[in-house]
Amino acid sequence: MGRKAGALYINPKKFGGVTKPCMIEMVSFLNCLALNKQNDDKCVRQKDLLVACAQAQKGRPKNAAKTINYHLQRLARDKGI
Amino acid sequence: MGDFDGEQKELIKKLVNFRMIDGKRTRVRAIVYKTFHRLARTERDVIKLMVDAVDNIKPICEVVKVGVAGTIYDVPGIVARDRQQTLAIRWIFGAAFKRRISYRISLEKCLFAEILDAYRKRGISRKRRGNLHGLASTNRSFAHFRWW
Repeated sequence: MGRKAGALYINPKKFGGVTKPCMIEMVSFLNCLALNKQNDDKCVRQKDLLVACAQAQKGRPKNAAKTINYHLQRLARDKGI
Repeated sequence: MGDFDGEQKELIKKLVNFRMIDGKRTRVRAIVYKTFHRLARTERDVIKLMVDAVDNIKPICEVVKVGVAGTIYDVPGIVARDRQQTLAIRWIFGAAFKRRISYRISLEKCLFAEILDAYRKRGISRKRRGNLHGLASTNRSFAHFRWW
């Protein structure tokens, strides 16, 4: 699953949580909508969780975690591969 | 506009600026204020009604087209707070404009009717929000393609 850059092993899953915020909340809200025939009055709890999560992400810097490609390029530059 | 807070002032400004064509702000302001006067006959607190109507139209999720391996997927994502308000106002005005074309009555009457409908969780703009949420929930299996 991971990729090697020289002697260093990079696990892409490590960056997944940071780059995709509120994924679980969004999917649970969409599942609730699908179950209740797009009636979001019955999905108030999921909606509130999603809104709260989105509000919490507001102060986060844009490029908090760079992509795996960025790290591979950086390591390649350093090693001179 | 003395006793409104910042967000309410911004909302009224946005309402005026969205419908403005060729810089004719006074003309649009007259339409918006006439709508407010109509709303004042039905409900005492016009601004609260307006805010609630916009909140009822605000979408939470939207779909973005993402190309993966030569195939274009509709990937659901979360809508930013500013964009939620922008879309809500755009849809309300769009729906009012549609009504105006259909029934050939003045824009303030159409806008008044649409805002009341939005407040009561029905109308064209509410349906549009439902369609967008429906599209997002249909494509929820592609949510893992999201990187933003």
